[in-house]
Amino acid sequence: MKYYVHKDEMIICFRGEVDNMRITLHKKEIIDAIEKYHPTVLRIDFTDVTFIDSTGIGFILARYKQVKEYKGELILRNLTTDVRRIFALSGIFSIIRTETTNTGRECV
Amino acid sequence: MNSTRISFLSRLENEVFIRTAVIGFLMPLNPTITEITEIKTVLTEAVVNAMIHGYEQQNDKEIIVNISYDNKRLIQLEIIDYGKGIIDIDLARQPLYTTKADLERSGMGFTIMETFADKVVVESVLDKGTRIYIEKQLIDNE
Repeated sequence: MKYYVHKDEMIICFRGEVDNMRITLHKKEIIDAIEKYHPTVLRIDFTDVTFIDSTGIGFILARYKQVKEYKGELILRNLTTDVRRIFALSGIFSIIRTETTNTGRECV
Repeated sequence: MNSTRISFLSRLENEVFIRTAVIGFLMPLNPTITEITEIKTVLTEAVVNAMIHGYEQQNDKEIIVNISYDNKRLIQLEIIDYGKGIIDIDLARQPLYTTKADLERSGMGFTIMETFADKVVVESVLDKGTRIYIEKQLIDNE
């Protein structure tokens, strides 16, 4: 789970199976980076995600709250069909923006 | 009818082990990609529930998964832990309800299980453990 910071934007690159183990291992590092850089826009990229579960939903909601506290914005990028289906159950699309792009190559 | 029983420790890395093992066991049924995703997700939710709620992240406890399928392609899954149990099962099954908000849990585990499986039965005894029973009917794709 890599992340990149460029100017006032930050992107987290999810890849493969984003499960409880993956989130647990990387959560603190990501939280600390957001606190450090306070990015105006935080993107999470799902291009290469093959699995996600309710742990992922909890992580997304918590990051949404974290960036909202300092008036930042969270954008979910390139959601796959499977990810979209799981996220839709929780209603997060009513509060969190999504985008699809083939130009952002940060995560490849 | 074919069945197997897998016992493993409540360690984080065993989440991927158990979902891969279960899918491996079911491969003779030639499930679709969507069915594989649904079974993996349902199973993971139940196992994470055992690890985080049943055993409160202790990593040396036993989780048992029983799997079977019959000639009508009905899959039965049982996920058993001997942890602290669930106080109020109806409340636990409500979407977005969680007792572990501090751990950034979403409270969507049971909702996901119910959405992707055909039947979900939860039995729990305080300080004895929890048994989640799941049925999933595979489509006939032969």
